[in-house]
Amino acid sequence: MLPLTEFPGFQLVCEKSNFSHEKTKHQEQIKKHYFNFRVQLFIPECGRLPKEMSHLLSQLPPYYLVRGLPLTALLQEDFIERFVRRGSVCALSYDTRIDQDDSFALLPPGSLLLSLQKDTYETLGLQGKPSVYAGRKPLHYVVNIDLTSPTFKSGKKNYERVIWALGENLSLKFNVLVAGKGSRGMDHSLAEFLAPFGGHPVLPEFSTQTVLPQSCPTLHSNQLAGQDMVGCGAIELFDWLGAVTAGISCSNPPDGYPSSLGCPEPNENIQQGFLLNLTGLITPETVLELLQQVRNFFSEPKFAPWAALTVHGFADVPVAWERGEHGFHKGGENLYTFIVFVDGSYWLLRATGTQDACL
Amino acid sequence: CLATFGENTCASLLLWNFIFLWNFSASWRRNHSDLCNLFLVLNQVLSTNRSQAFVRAFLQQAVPGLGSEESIQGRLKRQALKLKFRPSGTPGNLKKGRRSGLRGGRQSRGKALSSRRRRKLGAFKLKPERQRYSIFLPLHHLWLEYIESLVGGFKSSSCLQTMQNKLLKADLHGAIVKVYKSRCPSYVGTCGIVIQELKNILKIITAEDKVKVLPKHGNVFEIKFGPFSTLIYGSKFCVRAAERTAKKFKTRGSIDL
Repeated sequence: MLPLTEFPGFQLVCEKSNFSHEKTKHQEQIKKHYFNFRVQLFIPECGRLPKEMSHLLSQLPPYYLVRGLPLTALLQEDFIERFVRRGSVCALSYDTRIDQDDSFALLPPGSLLLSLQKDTYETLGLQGKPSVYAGRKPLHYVVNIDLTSPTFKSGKKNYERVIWALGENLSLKFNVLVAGKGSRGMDHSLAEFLAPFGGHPVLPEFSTQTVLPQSCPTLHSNQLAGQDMVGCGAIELFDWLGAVTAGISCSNPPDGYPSSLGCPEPNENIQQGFLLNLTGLITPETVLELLQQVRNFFSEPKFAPWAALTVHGFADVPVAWERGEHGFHKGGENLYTFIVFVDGSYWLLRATGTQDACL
Repeated sequence: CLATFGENTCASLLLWNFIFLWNFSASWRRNHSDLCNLFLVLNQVLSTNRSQAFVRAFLQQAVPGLGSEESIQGRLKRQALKLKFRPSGTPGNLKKGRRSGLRGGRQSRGKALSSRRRRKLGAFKLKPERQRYSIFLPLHHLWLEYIESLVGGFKSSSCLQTMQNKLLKADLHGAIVKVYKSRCPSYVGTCGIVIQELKNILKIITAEDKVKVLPKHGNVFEIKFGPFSTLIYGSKFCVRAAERTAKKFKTRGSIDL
């Protein structure tokens, strides 16, 4: 029995920096988180969608849903050449649970990760490793195939073995979400490639609403941990932000029995807040563009003291951040929030569940 | 005299004596008429050459395959062949009794060769020129016929359970096996004809003329015969082929590798 203090729990990592700092890592952090399913933007003291955003949202690239796609389709040589090596594409198995079913993910750097149950792994015939979160007798295995390797081409043993295992031996098929683009200069698109398999494009959905939280915490960009009378800490802000975006009222004093959530101190009264909700398979490039627009929002003087951009990852994804294996223990959340301030500084709060490697 | 000195020696001595006396003394001749009789007897005795000639002729007639004169003489001399027989209890062997029993190859008469001895002799070593898949295909056809006769024909109405039970006791030499599932993924998909079955392994020859050794433990083999195919869990199958006939296999709901 593990003592209570040692029980693996959730993690929240808070950092602060400035966008114009030479060592800023905001781009890196966004690019490492490949599979995003929801982006939320909260701006206090703002009534409607900023015009910078509206233009971007009208031009969002579609993602594709393919039902019953055989994995060997993603191993075709021309797909690898056009989309994996020269382009940037990510794919994820849809509607599979990471801890109970077989799932897979294709990462933009070019790795194909298969997260398999024990029986599937033993029948497939490809070498892999037991899951990091499996105990002594693993029930879960991860197979990593590097598609960008120069030796991964037809005629070579490794390639032929992979094709045989995924095609003839155990023809694995998944419902797949695919997003990305092919190499520049050539007008190849994913739609063309996926059409024979029945893939159709889906546009990300977005909705906007005005919320009335009555009060919002005061933040000081330098005080990440918070200081009495000066600014709120990042942890309290994170809790409050989650409540507002979920539609839970955080009035001060708290409502009593139904909810003990209240707005953290110090806070200030606000009239309204703007909430944007964007769902779909959202690529890191889209998130970067959104963040740039939020920064542009503050280029002109505004009432809003800060803006919060939250990006949620899929709960059932084999890899959340870069190559760290992701598991579903009591929850599979992996999300990060950028608190953008007027002066160009930001806070980056990253939250993970129990079985995740947030680096 | 005859008894002591043997026939021929005595006869020739007496003859020589008699000839000497006969030649030198006529009076001796008159006085020793009984010796004359003896001479006649000696004459008869000396004609053992005649008896020898008779024996020779008789043997050649009766046993034609005897061969030349020398071989007949050799046989008539009756030389005894001493066979190697040293019972351990004999007085001369008491000191070396144990050692002579253990060393020198055979441990004791009647037992099979030990596996060490067998390996030294190379009782099962396949030479490279004989490692051909095509050479073992007739063996596979023989095995198919054997299985068909064992199971009583490949009928669609045959009971699968009895067929499975018979196959568990059947000999697998010549069967085409394929690894269907394995704890080590690199074994999956290996397919070939069984050329040797030992306690813990199966030696197969693949279509690429390679001899592969597959451990039974941790592998599930798929065996196809006629329109049927069966899966055998190797982990429960780690017995020698000869002992498998007597072993009872329990049925389990599901087996983890």
